[in-house]
Amino acid sequence: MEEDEDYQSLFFTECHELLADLQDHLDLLSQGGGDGETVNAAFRAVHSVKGGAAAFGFDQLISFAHVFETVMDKVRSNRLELTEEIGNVLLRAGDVMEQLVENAQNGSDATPDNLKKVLSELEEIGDLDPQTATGGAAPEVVATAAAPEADTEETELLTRELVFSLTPGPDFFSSGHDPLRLFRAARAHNLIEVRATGEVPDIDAFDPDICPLSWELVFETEVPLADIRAFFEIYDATAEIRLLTEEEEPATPEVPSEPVALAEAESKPTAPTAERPPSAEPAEDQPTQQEATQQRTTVISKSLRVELARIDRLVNLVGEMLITQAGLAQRLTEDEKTEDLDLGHSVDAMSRQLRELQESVMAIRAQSVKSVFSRMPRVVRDLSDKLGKEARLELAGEHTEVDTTVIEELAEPLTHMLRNSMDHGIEGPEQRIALGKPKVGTITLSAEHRGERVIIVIEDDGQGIDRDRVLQKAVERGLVSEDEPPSPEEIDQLIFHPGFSTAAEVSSVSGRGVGMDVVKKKIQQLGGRCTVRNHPGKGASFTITLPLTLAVMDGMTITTGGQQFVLPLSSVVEAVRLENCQLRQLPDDSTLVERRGEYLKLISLRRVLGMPDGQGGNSMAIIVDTETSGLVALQVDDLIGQRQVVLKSLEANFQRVEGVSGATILGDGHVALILDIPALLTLSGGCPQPQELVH
Amino acid sequence: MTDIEMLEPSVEPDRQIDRSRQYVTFLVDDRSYGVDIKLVREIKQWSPTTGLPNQARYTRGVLNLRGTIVPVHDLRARFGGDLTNAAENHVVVIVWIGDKTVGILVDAVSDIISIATDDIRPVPPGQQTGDATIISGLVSSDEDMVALLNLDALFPFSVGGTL
Amino acid sequence: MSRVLAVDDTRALRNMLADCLKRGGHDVLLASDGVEALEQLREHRPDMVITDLNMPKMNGLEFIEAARKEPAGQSLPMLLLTTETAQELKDRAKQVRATGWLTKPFDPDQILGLVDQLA
Repeated sequence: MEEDEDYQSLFFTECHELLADLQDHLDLLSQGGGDGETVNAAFRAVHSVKGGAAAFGFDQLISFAHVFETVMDKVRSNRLELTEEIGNVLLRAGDVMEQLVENAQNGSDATPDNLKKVLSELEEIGDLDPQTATGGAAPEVVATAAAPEADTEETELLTRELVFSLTPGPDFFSSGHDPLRLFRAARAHNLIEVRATGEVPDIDAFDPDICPLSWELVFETEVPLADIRAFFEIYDATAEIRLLTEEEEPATPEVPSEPVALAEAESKPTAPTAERPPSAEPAEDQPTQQEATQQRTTVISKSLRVELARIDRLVNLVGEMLITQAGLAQRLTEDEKTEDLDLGHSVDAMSRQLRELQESVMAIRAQSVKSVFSRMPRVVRDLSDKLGKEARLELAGEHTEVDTTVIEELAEPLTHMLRNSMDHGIEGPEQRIALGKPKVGTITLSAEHRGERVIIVIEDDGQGIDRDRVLQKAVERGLVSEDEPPSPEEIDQLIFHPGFSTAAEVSSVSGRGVGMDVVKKKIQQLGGRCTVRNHPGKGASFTITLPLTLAVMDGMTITTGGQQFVLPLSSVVEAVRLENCQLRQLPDDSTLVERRGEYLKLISLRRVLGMPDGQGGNSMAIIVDTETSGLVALQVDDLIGQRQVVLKSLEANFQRVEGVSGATILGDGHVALILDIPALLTLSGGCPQPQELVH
Repeated sequence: MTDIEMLEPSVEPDRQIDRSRQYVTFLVDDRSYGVDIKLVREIKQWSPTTGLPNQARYTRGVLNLRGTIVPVHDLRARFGGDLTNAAENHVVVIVWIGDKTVGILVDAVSDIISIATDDIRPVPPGQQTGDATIISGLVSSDEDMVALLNLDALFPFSVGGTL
Repeated sequence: MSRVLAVDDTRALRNMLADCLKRGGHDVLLASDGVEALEQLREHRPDMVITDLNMPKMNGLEFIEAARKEPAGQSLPMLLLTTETAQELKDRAKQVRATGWLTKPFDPDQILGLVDQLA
């Protein structure tokens, strides 16, 4: 029984992948891109989901997939032209199928709201008889011939010569392989020539089980290299297979008829790590190059599935080494008697190597943002339906890699931001036409690396932020005073203010009452920043800047009450000596610090942490951006400096501690807490807002 | 299943015959407490911890145990006494509680004793201060009485829940 | 058209595999563990075997090892179809001279392609 469930969960995982691919293919096709192979791949995705569903008896899924598949088959055989409108129906059908898969996974047999509607749309565009269409999944004979069929129809693909060599190992024959069968089967892939190389040894030395020959197989074909490789995969264990012709990137399907497309594909960086920050040492490139050449000789690029926990252990260990190394370096500088330059150099070299090691280890955990981005078009489509607005989501930079820890946290803020764009940004179709804009709005979601951070931008071509309305609301809620009107940019920033949630009242879409403040807080928790640029009338763009990983963080180390603490550098604005500041005492005993004509509340970190007052120190003020309630001056004893710290969890052996986001180990082996300033201030009553927990 | 049970201190005396277990015993204010040796990961000399804001009084903070952050609780304070004026002669017993590693600050470690499970006596009702499940049983050893600790109940947030 | 022996202890998956093979026009023999599979092999001499790895009585690896000693199995294409990914098992599969290793859940097109290719 358990095994059954195991297979099912695998089936579900595969379904989600298939459906994500399906969406990509359909997106491409409905925008006029793609080719026969794209259509085939889309068809196969639907077909495979149906096949699996049939095996496990998910009836709703089977019958829906059956109709969907029938329509896809018409598209595939050119009996149905894929217009944008039809593409849209197919995309929605993909969404329904995803919902059905989720339902099956959760053991629910609920019917998705729009199933009926989409089903009838499918039947309409496919010109199907509803009676037979819903009749269930009759076994079919279609799938196997998918590729050859397409070949005869889609003759525009690039034909080129591919030469593979195959050298049987000692177990080739005894493992049930037969070269004649191999050649025969390879003919189906347009094998045009077989050359034998090598010599047959003397009859005495001849071992019938060992093949002394190798073969060169010449294919003249237009099918993707990957397909030919897939053909050879089964022989990989008992034979050596090499591609003798030049390596090529998988052909991009957009412009299949022009050779240019291939050339472009080749010049693309192979590994996303090539986009990594420039700070990476040149030496780091070497292994990647070696890897690439290795992949050229072995046929199938090798990948390894490793439990995340094992990698985490490695990350931890490297973190430890960095700490030990830092301690060592510190001892060395403190020990003034040491004049051993070589030792100093060695320690420096070790530090560099450790950083490289750390980067390499982190690269293992890197994942492309695609897994999150690919869920977003569906969000936009759902919202389009609910709001009666039309919008398309364009994705860019989906292959940008970020640490898994960050990926997991991204989906929620991105969803909220898209909701926001759909809700407040994109206008209704009539209004857009009246404004001379395209009827269908465009939202762009893009990702790219910049230095040690990843930049995610959500940009829409809607109406932008209505500053008059925002200001009016902010005045109503007492967030700003009417007498001192803020600058236009300051008005834009008000949408991040916790007291300013336009979402809650505007429509059912933002029904969860999630405001942009929550988004900003979440991003802040991840050690990132969130900013907005407003072009009234033309659109708005939100930029999220995130660290590439949550496992290490840039921090500012300070002391207070004889203990060291780390503040996330992303929230530190500046550090000032209190003796250089103007202090003002308020009647309620609180103190204000003047900074460039502005008064900031001075909060004693000691008091906030419940440490006893007194005993000197208190000489510095760290100006921090609380995000939720603007800038605050945090009074601390002393500033130690900036450093990268390795994050350790307090929850692993203890529990969540409010106001503390984690801990790190200092060079001397002591533990320092990493402070979550907004949470800490809320806790101590320094800020009026209740802390919301966002997961 | 028996293997797993052996890893957990049982609240009731075990009924199986002739089974004896080893306990690490330690002292707080001259009273003896015992913990199943299987739950003891190591014993460390006291070293200053890093304090945590807004925690129970008896939580002395966290320390670095070869790269993992481990909380340290003061057993004397946990039983309602004063905070231990911890110095180098004090000892932190590092124990497993569920899958978590936790340090317990005590005065000194005294012994390792073998106890037949039959010799474990239940705690007389009404004899305990506070939570009745903190002590899982009583044992006599060399005319001394050892109270066997139920760690899960003693530091409940360590097993998944919060206080 | 080939005669393919499908071995799997889980009925749903055995049927799924059988249906797929039948769709490809093949003759299908069924067995739910290695012991049954050996009997089928001796009696019906299939052109190819696709077997699960984890099964009661005799697992897929043991079955292949035994089958290679049978006249009917000496040079027979025999694929393992499994959810396992451990390298030790793959090495072991090579050692017992399995023809290939496929990961579940299978792609019907791939299975049919392989039957055409190997049998």
